[in-house]
Amino acid sequence: MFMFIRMGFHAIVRDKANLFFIVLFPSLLVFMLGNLLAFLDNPDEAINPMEIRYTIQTENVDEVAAIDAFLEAFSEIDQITFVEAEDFDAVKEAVRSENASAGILFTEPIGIEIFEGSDSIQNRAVKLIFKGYARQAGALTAIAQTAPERLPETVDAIFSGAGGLLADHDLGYSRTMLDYYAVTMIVMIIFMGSTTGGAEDLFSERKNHTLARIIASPKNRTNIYIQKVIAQLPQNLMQTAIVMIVSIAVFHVHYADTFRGNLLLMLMLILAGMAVSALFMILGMILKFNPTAIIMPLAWVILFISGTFSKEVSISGFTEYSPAFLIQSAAFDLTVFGRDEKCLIVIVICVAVLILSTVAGALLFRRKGFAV
Amino acid sequence: MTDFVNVENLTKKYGDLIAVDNLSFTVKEGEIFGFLGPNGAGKSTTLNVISTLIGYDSGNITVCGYDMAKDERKIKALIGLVPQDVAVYENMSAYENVAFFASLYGLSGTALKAAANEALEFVGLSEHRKLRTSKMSGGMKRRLNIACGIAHKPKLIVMDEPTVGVDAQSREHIMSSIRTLRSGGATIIYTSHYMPEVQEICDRIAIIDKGRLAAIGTKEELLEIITDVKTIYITCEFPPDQKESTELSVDRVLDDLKAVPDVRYVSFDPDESRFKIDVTLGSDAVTPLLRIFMDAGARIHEVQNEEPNLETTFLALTGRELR
Repeated sequence: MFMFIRMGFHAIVRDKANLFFIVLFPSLLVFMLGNLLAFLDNPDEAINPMEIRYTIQTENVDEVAAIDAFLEAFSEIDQITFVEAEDFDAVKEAVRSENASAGILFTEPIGIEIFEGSDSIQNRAVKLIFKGYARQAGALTAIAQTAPERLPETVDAIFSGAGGLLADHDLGYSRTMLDYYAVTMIVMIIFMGSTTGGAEDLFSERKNHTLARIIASPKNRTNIYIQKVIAQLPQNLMQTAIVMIVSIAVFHVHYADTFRGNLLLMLMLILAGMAVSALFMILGMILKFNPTAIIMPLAWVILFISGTFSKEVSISGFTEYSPAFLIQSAAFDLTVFGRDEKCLIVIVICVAVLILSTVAGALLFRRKGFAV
Repeated sequence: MTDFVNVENLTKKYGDLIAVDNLSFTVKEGEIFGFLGPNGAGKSTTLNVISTLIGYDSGNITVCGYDMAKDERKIKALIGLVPQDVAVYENMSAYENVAFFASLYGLSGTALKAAANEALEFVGLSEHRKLRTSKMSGGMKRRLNIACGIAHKPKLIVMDEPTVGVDAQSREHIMSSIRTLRSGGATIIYTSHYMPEVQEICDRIAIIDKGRLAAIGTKEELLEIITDVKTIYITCEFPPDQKESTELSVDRVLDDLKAVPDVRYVSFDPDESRFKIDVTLGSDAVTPLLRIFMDAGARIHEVQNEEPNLETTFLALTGRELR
């Protein structure tokens, strides 16, 4: 029962070319893309440490308290330092001479004037900070006018420390570029490996004359064919496992959040590989010449317009239905959002394609004269 | 001996091309049956049909009493195939190859190990059982090819040119192995382009041409079918001090030779100074022939006696050489 699987495994681990394409090449791809993509997560320009000097003109106790409370929230951020100054002209001079990043004047009646420095990135950061302050103030004013009874609890929430009105929750959206590319890489490797592996299997058996010897045996041909399809498992399993393990171990790639999710992802990818292999085994039986000659360009084109290499390259009405796109989409749904519906649908489709391809292939394989 | 393989009126077509045309022959149990034919004669097609690799259009084939149309799987279990091309996996060891193919015949466990080891021992590869096939020489691969076809102890072995491209030592080993297989009770269908092999090893021989049976029988029977004549070559010279010219001497000798009762045909090759004389097979014409040459004063340098052989028989039957 397992002799064809064992043979398939031997074919991988004992053949230098197979070993390269199935084991080394995926690892190299992960290594190269991992190193290249790691830099994409770094910002183009950094916001250097900022010293913001400010002067409070208003003498309204509540307003001063509100300003102090707001600025106090920044005390935990090392990069930003707020320094109060009595003389705002001196503040402006410090900004002009680049001794301060920006100058802020809290006016009477309440208002905020920003005097920007020469660093455009820092200026943008300062504006964002005080836009937030202004909007928070606007929100409080609105509550005071429309629902004054809720004002105390809102103020309590703002000044309770931590994030104030903001509550930061991790919904699993924080992903690196490598997390996305790891998924596309597996899909690409699975497609390339399964198409060529499937198509070349029977072709090479026929070319090496071993198929005649197998068919001459009393073993049922359907049984032989099914075993040949199952023998594609070691390749698909190894390709998927290697990319996942190397990318997790070396580059800390984040796939699904749960063990079940990762297992489901792996199952989907392996079944997708098996379905593609079974489909292309039929092509390998039909073609009289080395199928790689047409399969490699075909696989590249399919992957290219499936958004595997760039989401910018797509054909409306085709890309969204292409197998590679659907598998990637299901994988992203699972890894990024933790949703497994698409993944389960893809698994069902892959199982159906695998069964149908195996049946069709077995019928073709039963033809006499195929092996010689 | 009983008939082991019986082929009756076998016809196989590829579109409009008739590859095998109403072919009938039998292979007796325990014999080595030579199957000869020029390229495109339908030899491989017939062997592929018997090996169950391809179907056929009409006719009846029985192997060991089993009808191919009804009991194909039973027939498959009886056959061991040794194809012309080495059909083994390069990335597997000798043992793994033999065990893999033997397992297709239902062998497993200790029986499988024993059968694989025995087959390797038989072809002289037991010391190389762990050697990867890709590292083997051509002769070793040929022997492994045989081991893969016989490990399950088939009753009928179909060998399609098993000695192609091997060195003399491996060829001798293979020939000896085939004889041992036959003495072990196996029936062997054997094809080769190397005529001396076929003459040496086969009990009976079938010659097919254009998909039809041209002749069948033992080597002796085939030779009798075609010819009852053997050829004697006599190379000589006529000394210059003779009274008549060399041309006249040759003409006189030719006339005298033709007058000998068992001589069928005579000719002279002036370039090699050689007479070719066809005489009736079994006659003792050499002595009177030599006397004619001595009477003519010729100095005889060489006398060659060429018995009829399969090569000439094959040529006469098919009009083509085997190679």
